[in-house]
Amino acid sequence: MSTILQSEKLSKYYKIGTNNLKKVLNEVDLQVERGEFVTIMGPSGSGKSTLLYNISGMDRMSSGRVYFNEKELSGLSEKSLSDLRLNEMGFIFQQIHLLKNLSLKDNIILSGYLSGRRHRKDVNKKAQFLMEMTGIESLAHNDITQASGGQLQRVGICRALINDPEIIFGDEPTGALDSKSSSEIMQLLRTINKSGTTVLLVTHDSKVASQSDRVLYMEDGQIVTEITLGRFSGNKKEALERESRLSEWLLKSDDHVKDAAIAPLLTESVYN
Amino acid sequence: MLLYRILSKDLKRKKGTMAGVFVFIMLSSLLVSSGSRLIIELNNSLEHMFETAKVPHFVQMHSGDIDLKKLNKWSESNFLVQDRQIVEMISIDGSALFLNKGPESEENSIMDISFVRQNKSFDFLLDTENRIIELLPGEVAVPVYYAEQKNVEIGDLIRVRSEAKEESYKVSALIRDAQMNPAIVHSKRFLLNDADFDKMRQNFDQLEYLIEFRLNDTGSLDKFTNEYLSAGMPQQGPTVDYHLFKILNSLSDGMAASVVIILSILLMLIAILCLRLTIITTIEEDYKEIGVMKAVGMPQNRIKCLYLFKYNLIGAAAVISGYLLSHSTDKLLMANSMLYIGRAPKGLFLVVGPILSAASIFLFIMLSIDLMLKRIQNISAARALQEGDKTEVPKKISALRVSRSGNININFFLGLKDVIERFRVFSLLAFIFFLSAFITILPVHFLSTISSPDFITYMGIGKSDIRIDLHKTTGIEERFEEMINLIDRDNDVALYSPLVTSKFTVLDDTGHSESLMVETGDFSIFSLDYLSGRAPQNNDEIALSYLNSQELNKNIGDVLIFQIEGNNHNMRVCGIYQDITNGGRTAKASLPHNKDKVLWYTLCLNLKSEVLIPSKVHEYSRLFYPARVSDLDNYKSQTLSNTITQFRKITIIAIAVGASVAMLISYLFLKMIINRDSERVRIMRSLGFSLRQLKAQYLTTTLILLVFGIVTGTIFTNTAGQAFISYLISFLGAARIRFIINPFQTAVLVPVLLISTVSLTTAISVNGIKEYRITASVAE
Ligand SMILES: Nc1ncnc2c1ncn2[C@@H]1O[C@H](COP(=O)(O)OP(=O)(O)O)[C@@H](O)[C@H]1O
Ligand SMILES: [Mg+2]
Repeated sequence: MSTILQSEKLSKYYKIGTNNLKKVLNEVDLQVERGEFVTIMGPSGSGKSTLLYNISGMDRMSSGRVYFNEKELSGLSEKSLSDLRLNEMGFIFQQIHLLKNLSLKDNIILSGYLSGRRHRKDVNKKAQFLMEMTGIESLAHNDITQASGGQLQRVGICRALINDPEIIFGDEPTGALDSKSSSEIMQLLRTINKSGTTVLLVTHDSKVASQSDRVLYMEDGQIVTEITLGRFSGNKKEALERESRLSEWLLKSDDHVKDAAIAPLLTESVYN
Repeated sequence: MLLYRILSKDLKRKKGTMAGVFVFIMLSSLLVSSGSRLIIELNNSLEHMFETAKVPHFVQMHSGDIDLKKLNKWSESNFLVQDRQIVEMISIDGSALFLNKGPESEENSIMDISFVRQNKSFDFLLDTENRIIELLPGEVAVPVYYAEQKNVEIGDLIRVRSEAKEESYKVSALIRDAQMNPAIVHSKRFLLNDADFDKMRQNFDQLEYLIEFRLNDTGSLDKFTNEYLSAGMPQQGPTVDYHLFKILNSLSDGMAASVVIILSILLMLIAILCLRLTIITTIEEDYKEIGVMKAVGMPQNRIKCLYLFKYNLIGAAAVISGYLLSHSTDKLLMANSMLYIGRAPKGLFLVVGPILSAASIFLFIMLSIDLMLKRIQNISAARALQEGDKTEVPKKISALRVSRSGNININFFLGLKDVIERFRVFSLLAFIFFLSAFITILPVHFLSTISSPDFITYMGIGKSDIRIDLHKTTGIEERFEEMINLIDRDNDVALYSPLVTSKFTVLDDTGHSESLMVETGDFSIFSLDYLSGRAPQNNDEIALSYLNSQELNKNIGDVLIFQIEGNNHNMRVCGIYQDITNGGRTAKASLPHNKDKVLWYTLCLNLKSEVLIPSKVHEYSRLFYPARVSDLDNYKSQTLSNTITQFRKITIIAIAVGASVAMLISYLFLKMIINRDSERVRIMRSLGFSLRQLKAQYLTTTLILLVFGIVTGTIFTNTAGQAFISYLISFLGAARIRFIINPFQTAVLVPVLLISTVSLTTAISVNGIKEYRITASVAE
C-alpha cells in the first residue's frame, strides 16, 4: 500500500483582531493510504473542516507540509492547486453548494468539461452512468429547487466523481440528511471506495464512522487518538458489532483526551 | 447603534463607489454651471461689443461706382434710417500682403483682404479691450483671426507690396470686427491711420464699398432690406445684416456651450445610474438589518430617511463643489469668445443663472434617489430574517445548457450564458457601453467628416483638383476670357469648367423682388451631390442651396420667377444642394450670367493624373495674378481650420469621457456583480476553476456587452447621431450631413481603445474574487 496523503506538523492560524492569533490546527500529522476509507470525528469547533480544507489545498496552511501523491502542496501555484482539485480530488459538502444557474446534470458535467481530459461525449456518458448509479437520472434537467436534500447530495457525489478522482473528501456529507438517505449515501461511498477511490470523511455520526476502515478523533486542533476498525463487509451483524465497538471507544476517548499528550501512544498500543 | 452603523458603514466600505458618484455629480454640476455661464456671458458680451462698436444694421457690399446723389436722396427720404455711411475699402490681393518676415505672402489665403480707416460715426473697429482703435502713422491694426491663425503679434511688422513699392507697418492693435470676426466670414478688414490710408489708395486701384445703415428700429430690418433692394440702390455684392452678424459671432461658442450642457446632462444620468447601483447593492447588503429595523417597528419612512439623508448629503456636496470649481474652469471654455468678443460687465443674471442650473441638477438627483429608495418598502421583515438572501435564481434557457455547449471553451460559454440569462441585470452595463460608444464615436465621425476632402460637397462646390477665383479687377471679363483660353491650351489640364457668379432679381411669392446670388455655367462637368434632384440641364432650370430653398419656400418642381432684362422668366427648381459658404444662400443655373452684376468668376479644373497639383497651383497663381488659385483641399481646410481644431479638442475630451465612463461604471457594476456572485465563485473555485478562468468568464461577459454596446452605439451614431448633427448644422446650410467614416478610426481605434480600457477595468474589478474561498462560507 502506498501513501496518497500525508501531513507533517500541519498548522493553521487565524488572525483575530489586529495582533491575536488563533491556532485552529496544531501541528497535525496524518497519513492516509491509497484506497483507504478514513473518517474524522470530534467535537464541533475542533478543527475538522479546517483540516480537510488544508490537506486538500483548498485553503493555504500556515506552516507544516502536506504531500499529496508526493507533491508538496504549499509549493504549488494557485493554478496547479486548482488543477489538482479538478482532476484528482472530489469534494462533497454538507451544504449543497450546487450552482443555482445550472441544471442538475450541468452541475455534474461542468468540471468534466472544464478538465478537458476526456471528450465531452464521454463526460456525458459518464454523467449518465453516475446518475443511473445514484438513481437520479430522471432529474437531469431539473433546477436545484426541484429536488430533495438527499437527491441533491447524490448530485454532489456524482459531481465529485465525474473526473475519476483519486480521493474524495467529504465534510459531513450526511449531516443534513435523514437516516435513510444517510445510509444510502454511505452505501454509495463504500461502493466508490471499493473501486479504489480513497475516501476521507468528516462526520458527527458514529453510525457513518463505524463503516470506515479507520476513525481519527480530533480535539483542539489536534488528532488526539484513532481506532482501526478494519474493512467492513456490509454484513448487518458486523455493522452492529462495529458500531458498538466504536461507541465504546468514543466513550473511552473522553478519558484519553484528558491526557492528550499520551493519547497517540495509547492508540498505538491498545488498538493495534 | 444600528442607525449610525448604516450611515457610516458604506461610506467606509464603498469609498471608491462614493468617490465615483461624487466626481460624476461634481463634473455634471461644473459643466452645467460653466455652460450656462458661457451662454449668458456670450449673449451679454456680444450685446456689449455690438453696442460699443455701433454695429450697422444693414450692410450692402458693393464693388463698382456709386451714384451718391441717388443714394443720398433715397436714404434721406427713408424714415427708417437713423444714420448711414459709406466705408471705403482698399482690396488687396493676398499675394501683396506679407504677415511674417519670410517670403511667404497670403497668396494662398482664402480671405478677401482689405484696408480701411477708422469710421467716424459707427461701425467702429475695436481693440481687444473693446476700445475704439486710434492709430498713428505707420501703424496697422490686424484682425484677431490673424493673431489666432498666423500668430501675428503686437509689434510685428507687416508688409504690403504694390507694383510701385513696398510699405511696412507696425502692428499696434488687434481688431475685433463685429462684422467680420469669425473665420467663416471670408472678408477681413485691416485698419490704417487716415493718412496712410490715403497714401495706399494711390497705389491700389481696387476700391470696394460697404454701404452701411443704422436703423431706428432693428425690427424693421426686413422691410428696409426690401425697400433698399427694390429701389435699385447699389448692390454689386452680398447683402448682410445685424442678425447674421450675431449668428456668425456666436456660432462656434454657442455650439461649444450646447455640447457642454448636453455632456453635463449625460454625466448626471450616469451619476444617477451609479447611485442606482450603489443603492441596490447597499440595500441588498443591508437586507437583514432593514428587516430587523422593520421587525422592531421602525416606521418605513424613518428607514428611508436614513438613506435619503446620506445620499442627498453627498449629492449636495458634489453639486456645490462643482459649482465652485466652475469658476476656475471658465477661462478655458471662454478663451475663444474672450479673444474675439471680449467680456461685458457682470450682470445679476450671470450669477443667478449658473446657480439655478446647478440647483436643478441637485433637484433631479434628489428626486431619483427618492424613487430608488422605494424598494425598501418591498422588503418584508419576516422574509428578510428567514432567508437573509436576496438573489433570485436566474431563468435558465435550455439552449444554453452546458451539455449543449458543443466544443466551445467552457469559460467563454459560461460568460455568454450569464450575459443572456441575466440580461435584465446586465442591460444597465450594456446601456452604459452603448452610451460610451456613442459619446466616443459621434465626435470621431463628425471630425473625420469635416476633415475629409469629401466634405467639400457640403460647401456647394463640385469636386475638382484646382479652383481659381477671380474677384473684381479692372477688365475682369477680358482677364477671365484670357484665363479660359490659356487653360484650354494647357496640355496638363484634363477638364475645366468656367463659372460666373452674378446677381439676379427674382420675385418672391408676394411679388416683392429679391436679389439672388446665382452661379452660372455647366454644372455637369464637376458634379456635386444634390440633397434631392439633379444639376440644371437647360436655361429653365435652377438648383437652390438648402437655405435658399427654405427661405424662398421653393421645392423641386416649384417655379421661381427671374426678372431678366425686364422680362419675367420662369425657372423650375430642379435640385437642392447643401452649401455652408456665402451664408448658405446660393443657387446654380445654366443661364447666361447677368453682365451688370457679376460678383466673381470661378474656374474649376482637373489635371491629368501625372501632373502635380501643388506646382500647378503655384504656376497659375503667378500666371493669373491677382486671381486666387487653390487646390480644393486647401480651400476647404482654410475655411474650416478653426472649426476643425476646436472640434479635435472636443473629440479628445469626448473619447476621454467615454472611456472613463465605461471604466468607472464597469468597475462599480462588476463589484456589485461579484458581490452577488460570491457563492457561485466559491463553489466554482472548489471545483477546480482557477482565478484566471473565473476572470475569463467575467471578461467574456463584459466584452460581449461591450461589443453589443459598440455595435449599437455605432448604428445609433450613424442614424440618430447623424440626424442630430445635421440638425445642428442645418442653420449653416447643410441639412443632411452624411458621415464620412474613417474605417481605421471606427473599426480599429475606438473599439481597441474601449476594449482595452474595459478589459483592464474588468481584470481589476473582479480581482476581489480571490477573497471568496469555499472555506470561508463553511466556517460561518
Ligand atoms: N476564517 C476563520 N477565521 C477565524 N476563525 C475560524 C475561521 N474558520 C474557522 N475558524 C475557527 O476555527 C475553529 C475550527 O473550525 P472548523 O474547522 O470549522 O471546526 P469543525 O469543522 O471541527 O466544527 C473554530 O473555532 C472556528 O471558529
Ligand atoms: Mg465543520
